[in-house]
Amino acid sequence: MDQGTMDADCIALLPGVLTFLADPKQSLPDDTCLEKLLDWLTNIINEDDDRNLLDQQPCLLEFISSMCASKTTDPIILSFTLKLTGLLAATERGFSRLEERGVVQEAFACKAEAEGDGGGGGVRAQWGEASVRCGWLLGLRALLQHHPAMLFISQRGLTKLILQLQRDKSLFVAAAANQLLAHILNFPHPPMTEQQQQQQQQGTAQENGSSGPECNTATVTAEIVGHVGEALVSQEHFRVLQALRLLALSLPGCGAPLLGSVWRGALGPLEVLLEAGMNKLSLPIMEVLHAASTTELFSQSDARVEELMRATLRVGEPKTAIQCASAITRLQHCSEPLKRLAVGIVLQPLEFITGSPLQILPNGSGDAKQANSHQPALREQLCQKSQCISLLSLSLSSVAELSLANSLFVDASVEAVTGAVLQLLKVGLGQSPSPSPPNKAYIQLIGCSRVQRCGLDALISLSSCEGVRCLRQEVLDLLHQCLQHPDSDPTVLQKTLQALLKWICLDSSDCSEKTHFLTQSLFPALMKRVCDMHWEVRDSTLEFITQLIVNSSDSVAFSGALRGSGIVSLLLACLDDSEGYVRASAISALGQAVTAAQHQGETNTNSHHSLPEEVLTRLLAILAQDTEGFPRRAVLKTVTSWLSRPRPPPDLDQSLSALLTLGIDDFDWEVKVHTLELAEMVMDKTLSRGSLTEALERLQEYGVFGVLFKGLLDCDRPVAQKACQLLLKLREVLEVKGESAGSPPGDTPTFHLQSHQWGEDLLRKCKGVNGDSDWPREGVPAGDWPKGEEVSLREVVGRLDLEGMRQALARSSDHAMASPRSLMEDILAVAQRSDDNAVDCY
Amino acid sequence: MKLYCLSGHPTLPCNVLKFKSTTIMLDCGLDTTSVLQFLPLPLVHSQRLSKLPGWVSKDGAINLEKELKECAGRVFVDSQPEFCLPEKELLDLSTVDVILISNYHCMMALPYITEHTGFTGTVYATEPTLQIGRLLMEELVNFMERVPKAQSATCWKNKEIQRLLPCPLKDVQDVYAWKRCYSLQEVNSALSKVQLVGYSQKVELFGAVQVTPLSSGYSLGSSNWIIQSHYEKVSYVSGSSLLTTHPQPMDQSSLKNSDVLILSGLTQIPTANPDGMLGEFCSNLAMTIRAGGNVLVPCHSSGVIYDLLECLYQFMDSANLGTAPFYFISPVANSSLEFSQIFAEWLCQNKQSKVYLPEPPFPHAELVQTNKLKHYPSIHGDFSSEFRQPCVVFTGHPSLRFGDVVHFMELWGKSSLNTIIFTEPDFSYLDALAPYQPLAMKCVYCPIDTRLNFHQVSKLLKEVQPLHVVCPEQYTQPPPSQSHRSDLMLELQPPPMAYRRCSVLGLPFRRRYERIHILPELAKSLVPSEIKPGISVATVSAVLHSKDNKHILQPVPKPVPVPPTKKRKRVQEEPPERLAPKPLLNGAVPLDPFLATLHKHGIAEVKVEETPDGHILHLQAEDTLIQLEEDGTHIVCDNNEPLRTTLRDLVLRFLQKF
Repeated sequence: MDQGTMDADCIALLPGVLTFLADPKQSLPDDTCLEKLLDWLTNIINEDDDRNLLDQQPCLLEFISSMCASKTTDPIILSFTLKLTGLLAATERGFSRLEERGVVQEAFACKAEAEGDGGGGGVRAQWGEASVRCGWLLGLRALLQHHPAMLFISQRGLTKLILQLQRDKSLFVAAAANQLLAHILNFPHPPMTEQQQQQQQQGTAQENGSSGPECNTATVTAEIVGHVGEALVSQEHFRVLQALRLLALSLPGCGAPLLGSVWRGALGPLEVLLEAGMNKLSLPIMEVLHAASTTELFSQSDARVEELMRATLRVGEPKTAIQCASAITRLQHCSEPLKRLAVGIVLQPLEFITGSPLQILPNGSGDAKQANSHQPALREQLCQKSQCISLLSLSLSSVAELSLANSLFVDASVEAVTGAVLQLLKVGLGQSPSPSPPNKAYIQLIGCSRVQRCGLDALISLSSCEGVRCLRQEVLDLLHQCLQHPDSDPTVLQKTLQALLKWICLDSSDCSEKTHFLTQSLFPALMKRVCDMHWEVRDSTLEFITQLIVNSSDSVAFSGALRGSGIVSLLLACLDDSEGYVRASAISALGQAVTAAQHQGETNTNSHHSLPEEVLTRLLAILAQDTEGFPRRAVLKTVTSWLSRPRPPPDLDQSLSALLTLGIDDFDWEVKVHTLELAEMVMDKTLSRGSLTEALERLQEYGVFGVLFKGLLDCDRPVAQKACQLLLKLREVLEVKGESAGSPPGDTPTFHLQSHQWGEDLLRKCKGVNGDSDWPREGVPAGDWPKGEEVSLREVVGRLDLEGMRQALARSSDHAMASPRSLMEDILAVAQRSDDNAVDCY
Repeated sequence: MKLYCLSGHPTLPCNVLKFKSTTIMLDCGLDTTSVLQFLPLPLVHSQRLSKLPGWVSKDGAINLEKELKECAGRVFVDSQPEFCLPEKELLDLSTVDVILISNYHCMMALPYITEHTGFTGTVYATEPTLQIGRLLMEELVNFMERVPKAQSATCWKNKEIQRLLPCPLKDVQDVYAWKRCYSLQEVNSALSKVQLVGYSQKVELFGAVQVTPLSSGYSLGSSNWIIQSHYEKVSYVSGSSLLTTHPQPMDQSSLKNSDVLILSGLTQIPTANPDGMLGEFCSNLAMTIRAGGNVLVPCHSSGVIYDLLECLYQFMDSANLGTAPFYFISPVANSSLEFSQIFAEWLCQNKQSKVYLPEPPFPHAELVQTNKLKHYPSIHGDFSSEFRQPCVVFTGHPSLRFGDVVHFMELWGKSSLNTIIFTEPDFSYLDALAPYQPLAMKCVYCPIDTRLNFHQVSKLLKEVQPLHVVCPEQYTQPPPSQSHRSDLMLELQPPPMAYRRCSVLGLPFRRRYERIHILPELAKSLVPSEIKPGISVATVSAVLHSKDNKHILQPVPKPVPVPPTKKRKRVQEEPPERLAPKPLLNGAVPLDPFLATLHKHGIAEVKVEETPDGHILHLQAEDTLIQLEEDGTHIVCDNNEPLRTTLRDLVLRFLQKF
C-alpha cells in the first residue's frame, strides 16, 4: 500500500476523530495519542506543501475555532488545538486562510489583547492551566516561520506576554517561552537601511508608524534585548537565570547586527554579575560565554569573551571554578594562556591529593596566582570525603577528555599527569603515595571505586597521548595490582582490563619484558579471575582474553606464552560455566585461541595440535544442547570468524553441515540469523573457488540451500529477511556466472520439493494454503510448480518473487500497529466502546 | 579500679579487672604463635624431618644439637610444641573470683589458670562457647598426644644461651612462660568449673557487681560483657563482628553509657576485607581443582570453616568444580559439624528460621548428605581407603606444626599443581611454611577475619560513647608494615589507654556513690524539708548494716531496759544515748541585707573586705570579725559572749534549719 493511499484513508477518518476530541464527554485512549496525531499532521504538511489540508478538511477550521471559542474546552485538547493551529499556520497560505477566519487571532492574540476585559475565548478562560500556556507558546513557535507571522506578533504586542511567560512558575512554560524568544531573535533579519537602524536604536520605529517587515522584527527584537538587559541586573535569581539561558540559546544563531546589539546589552551586566562573585550563576554565565565563543564575538577583542571566561575562574567555589575551567578546555579556539590556566585549575585536586607537582602554570606567574586563589577552600573541601570524591572525579574525567584531544597538555606534563593518576590509583589500593602529600586527605580514598573508575578511564585515554610510552611498565604493574586486588569492585576490574588492553597494545613489538609481564604477572592473574566468584568478572576477563588474543595474534612470543600458561585449558573448563554469558565469552575466547594457534602453526608444532578438533566437538555439543541462546549464538559467530580466516581449522569442513542444520532448526531467531551469516560465508568461500557446478554441489552437500529456504519460510522477520537477501545474491550469481560459464539452464542441483519439509512448506505457502497472511501476497502464482518432479535450484530461485518478498519484509512488523490509521481507529474505538459500556451499565 | 594485663596478644587477651572488691578475669587466651618455633610433628615417620642436623654455635661453644635442629635454613626447637601462657606472676591468681569467657578461641588457656594456681572461683561462658571450646581443647590434646615426644627442650631457654641463638629464636619474648599442652583430665576439670549463661542474663557477683553477656556477632555463642554496679559500668568488648555471618548479630546498644570500655579482639588483618578474601579463596580453589591439583586449607575445626563451606556450597555449581570431594579431617570434625546445627538460638535470624523448616541451618549438612563433604577423625582408617584426588582438604592445625595438616604438607608440597590456602589470620603464613621449604606447591594467603575493623570500631565508639577506652597498644599506632595508614588505628578523644603484657592500669574513674537501702519504718520516721524546689533533705539517725556488699539503714534499736539486778554493781556498757540530732543549717548569708540588719541592731561601723572565699566584716567599734564564707561563717569575738550570741542569732535569721 503506498503512502498516499494510506494518508487518504486516514484523512477520511479525521472528521470523526476531531468530533471525538471536541466531545467533552469522551476521554482519550492514552496520553500520547495527541502527540502522535500532531506528528502525523506535521509529516503531511511538511511532505506536501502544496496540498492545503485546510481546503480538504474544512472540519479542521471548525474544530479550531470552536475549541478556541469555548470556555469549557479540556485544557489538554485546547493545548493540542493551539499547537495544531500553529502547525497549520506555518505556511503563509495556511496562515492567511486561518487569519481570514479570525482563528489565529482567536487562538493567539485574544489573551494579549483582551487582558482584563473579561471577554470570551477559551484560551483566556483556561490561561491558568500550564498546558494551555505551553500549547500557546509552542503553537506560536510553530507558526513563526514567515514575516506575516512576525508582523502578527509585533502588531498584537505578543512580545510582552511572551516575556512574562519567560518567568512563568511552570518550568516547562518558562523553557518554552525562552525557546520562542530565542527563535524570534534568530528569525532571519531582513537587511535594514541606515535610517531604520537609527530608528531602532532610538526606539522610534513604531512611533513613526513604519510597519515594514524589517521594522516589525526590529521592534520585537529591540524589546527582547532591552528586557534581557533589565533582567540581568535584576535582584530576582530566576529572572537573571532565564535571561542567561535565553542568551545561551540565542547567541549562536543570531545574525550580525543583532548579535552585536544583544552582546552590547549583556556585556556590562555580565561583568557586574561576575564581579559580585555569585557562585550559583557561574555555570549559566559560562554557558553564555560558551555560546558566544561559537560566534564571531570570540575574535572581537571589545567583546571581551575571553576576559569574562577568565573571570569565571576567579569566582565561586572550587567545584564551580573547576567546572568552568573544564568547559574552557573543551573550547575549539582559545588562547594558549587561558587554556593553560583552565588546565591548571582542572588538575589542582589531583595535584593536591597525590602531592605530585604537575607544573602546568609557571611558578609565580599571574595565572599561577589566580589558580592558587582557590587553594585554601579547595584544601578544605578535599578533606571531606564526599567533596573530595566529587572534585577528583571531575578532575579525572577532565583529564580523560583532555588526553583524548591529545594536544592539550603541554610539553612534559602528559607524563606528569599520568604519573599523578598512577599515584592516585595506588592510593586507592591502600599504598602510600610518594612523595608524601602534605596532609592525610588521601586516606579517605582507599578503596573508593568511583575514583578508581575515573582514574582508570583517564589512564585509558592517556594511553593515546604521545610521550607516555616510557611509563608503560609502571602503568602495567599498577594495573596488574588492581587486577590482583581482592577488594576490587567488578566495575573497577572491567575498567582495569580495558586499560590493560590499551597499554599492552601500546607497544606491538615482542620483547622479553613484555613476555615476562604476560607470563609472570598477567596470565596468572587472569587465570584467577576466570575462576572468580562473580560471573561479571569471569565474563569481562574472558572478553579481555579474546581481545588480547585478537590484538596480539601476530606475535610469536605471545602465542608461545599463551600456550604455556594453561589458560586454554581453563577456557575449555569455562565452557561448562553455570552462566550463559560466561559460556558465550569462553567460546569467543577459545575461537580466537584456535585462530592464534592456527596462525602460528607453521612455525610451531605445538602441544595444542588437537585443540581445534576438541573445541569444535565441544562447540557442536553446545549448539545442540545448551539451554541458553548466548552460547549457541557465540558458537556460530566463532565458526563464521574461523571461516573468514585464510586458514580455517582443517576439520571444520566436515562439521559445517551439522552446524548449519542445528543452527537453522534452533528456537532462537538470532541463532538462525547467525546460521544464515555462516551460510553466507560458506557460499562466498565456495563460490569463489572452482567451477559453478562444483561449487553448487558442495553447497548442496553442506545443506546450504535447505538452510536458505528454511530461513525464507521462518516466521521471524530478520531471519526471513536475511535468507531472502542471500537467495537474491545466489540468484544473481547463478545468472551472472551461469551465463558466463555457458552452462545449460538445468545444470544446478535439483530438489524433490515434496521430500523436504521446507519444500512442502514452500509449496503450501506459495499456494496460499491455510490463507497464510504472513506470506507476502506478492508470492509466486499458485499451482504452476511441477508436481512430483525434481525442480532445479535455478528454477526454484527464479520462480520466487524474491524482490517482492524483500520489500514486504523490509517493513517493520509493527508497521500496521504504528500507522496513523491505527492510531485514529484506536481513538474512534474508544468512542464506540464507551457507547457499548453505557448500554452494558443498564 | 585496676586492670592487670596478663597477655600482650591483642586478640587472645587475658586481663584481670579489680572492681568493687571483686577480681574478675576477662578471657583466658592462649598465645599459640610460639609453636612456630618448633619442628612439625609428623603423623607418619618423615625421612626428611628425622635426619635434620642439630645446631651447634659456629665457634662450637654451645652445643644444642639435641634440642635445636636446622631445617630449611632456620633453627627450630625439636620437642613437643609449647604455648605462651598468660602472665602468672603479676598477681595472685588464686584471688580471682570469676573468669568471663567471650568466645571459644579466648578460653584455650583455661586449664593452666584453673588447675595450678589455687583458683577456686567460677567460670562463666555461654553453652556454644563451652561445647566448641571443649572440642578445640580436646583436638589440641589429641594432636599432641597422638605423636608423643618424650624430649623436652629447656636449655635453649636459658637467657644467656638464648641471646646467642640465631634469629628468630634469639628475639622470642617471654620464653619462661612457655609450657607444654595440658592433659584431657585437666581440660575436664577446668571445664567443670564453667557455669553456663545466656545472652542478657544478669549474674550477681557477691552483690557487688552484676555481669551480663551480650551477643558479639563473631562466633557461635560469642559474647561481650557488661560489668556494672549501681553507679559504674565497664564494658568488655572482645572479638565482635558486624558482618552477616552465621552467629546472632552484635548487640551494640547495651554498650552505651559505659564509664570504661575495654576493647580487644579487633581484626588481625585490617587491610583484608573478608568478602574479598572469600572471593580469593573460591577463585584460587576453583583454579587449582580445574587444573587437576589438590587444595589444602589449614584451619581451626570450628568458626570460619562453617562460612567457608557455606560459600563453597553456593559457589560449587557455578564454579564447575566437578566431582572433586571435600574432606574435613579433625578428631572433632563430626562433633563440630553436628554441634553447629543444634545451637539454633545462637544463630542469626535467617538461620534460626530454618529450624522451623525441614532443613538444617547450615548447608554443610546437605554437602555431607550428598557425599560432597566427607569428614574423618584422622588420615588413618577409613580416610585412606576413600581418599580421591583432586580434592579439597580442610584440616588443622593452622600453624602447620601438628595435626593431620603436617602429613598433607609432606604429601603435596612437592607438586606445583597443588595449592595451600591460608584462611586463618592467627599465624604468619611465611613462618608457618618455613620448615617445609623449598616448596613447589602454590601458596595463597587469604586470611578471613570477620572481627571489627578500625572503621567499624570508630563508628561503634562514636555511637556508644564510652568515657574512657582501654585497648592493647597495637591499636594505638598503624601496623608497622603500613605506617602511612593512619586510618588503621584508634584515634579518640581522650586518647585510649594502651596496655601491653604485664601492664597494670589504674582506670581513670573514681567511685563516688554507693547505693544504700532504707528500711520502710525508718523512712516513715524521716521529716524531709525542701531546701530547693525538688530537693528535700532530712537528717537520719540509723544503724548501717553492710553484708554481701549490700548496705541497709535500719532504725536504731531501742535500749533494752536493764532488769534490776541484785548482783554486784559493775560498770555497765551503756547503750549509746539517743539524742535528737541538732538541726542543720543551710543557705547563704546575703551581704547587704545582713549589713542592714547589723545596722538596725546598732552596729554601724562595718568595714567589708572581699576575700577569695567570701567576705570579712570588721566590726570596728566592737573589735570583732565576721567571716562569711561559702561553707562556713565564723564570728571572732573575744570575751564578749552577749555580742557573739546576738551576732549568731542575726546570722541564723538568714539560714534555713532542718
